[in-house]
Amino acid sequence: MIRTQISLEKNEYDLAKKQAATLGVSVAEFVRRAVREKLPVKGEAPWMKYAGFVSTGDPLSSQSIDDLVYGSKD
Amino acid sequence: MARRIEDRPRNGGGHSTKIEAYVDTSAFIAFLDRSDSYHQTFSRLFSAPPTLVTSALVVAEGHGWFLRRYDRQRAGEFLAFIETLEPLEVLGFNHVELAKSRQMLTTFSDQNLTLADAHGLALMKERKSGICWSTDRHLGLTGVKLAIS
Repeated sequence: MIRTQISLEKNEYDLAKKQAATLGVSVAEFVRRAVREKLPVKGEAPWMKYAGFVSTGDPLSSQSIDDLVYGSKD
Repeated sequence: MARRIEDRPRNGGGHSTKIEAYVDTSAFIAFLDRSDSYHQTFSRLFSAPPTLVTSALVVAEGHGWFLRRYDRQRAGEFLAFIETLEPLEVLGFNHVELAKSRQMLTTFSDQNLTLADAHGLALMKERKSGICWSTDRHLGLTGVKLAIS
């Protein structure tokens, strides 16, 4: 394991500490998990880490792009 | 990262024989939004893509979608995704492309096509694209097969 140092904004640190406590892990482990989550899975194309990176809750999301961007379209 | 934005299509301006898919904004959104009903379909397609092409207007439209739906950060992540997508070639938009797109808008004047749609139709016609990744039926107006059909 490589030891490194990072700087966080105070509010980010506080939120990370709170979330880590909720999960029952250390802040260091919480940061490691966050980093792992952002890295591509070994053997997977690098762009696949973006698959489903948002969730609008709308199953017709891709079919209503024009409504959102332009206002409306048939 | 081998990103290109070109003023005109490669392959002699439309005599491509390689297998390539044109990617519409809706395919990007379906892939990126895990709530979308086509998310699994496009996750599978993007996991092992052929050569992909899209219009610079599609990238602008996708960026606009994230700005409207979310914020600058998510819009930036969308652009980072585009940068990461190595099999994708982003084709530029200039006066020549505008003229071709206007021709499509005239041909399909009974449809409310966006300029991005029209440019996609023009590019697919010129490049003889065999398939279009889109959930928008408008992109099939010229007879190109949609990946969802």
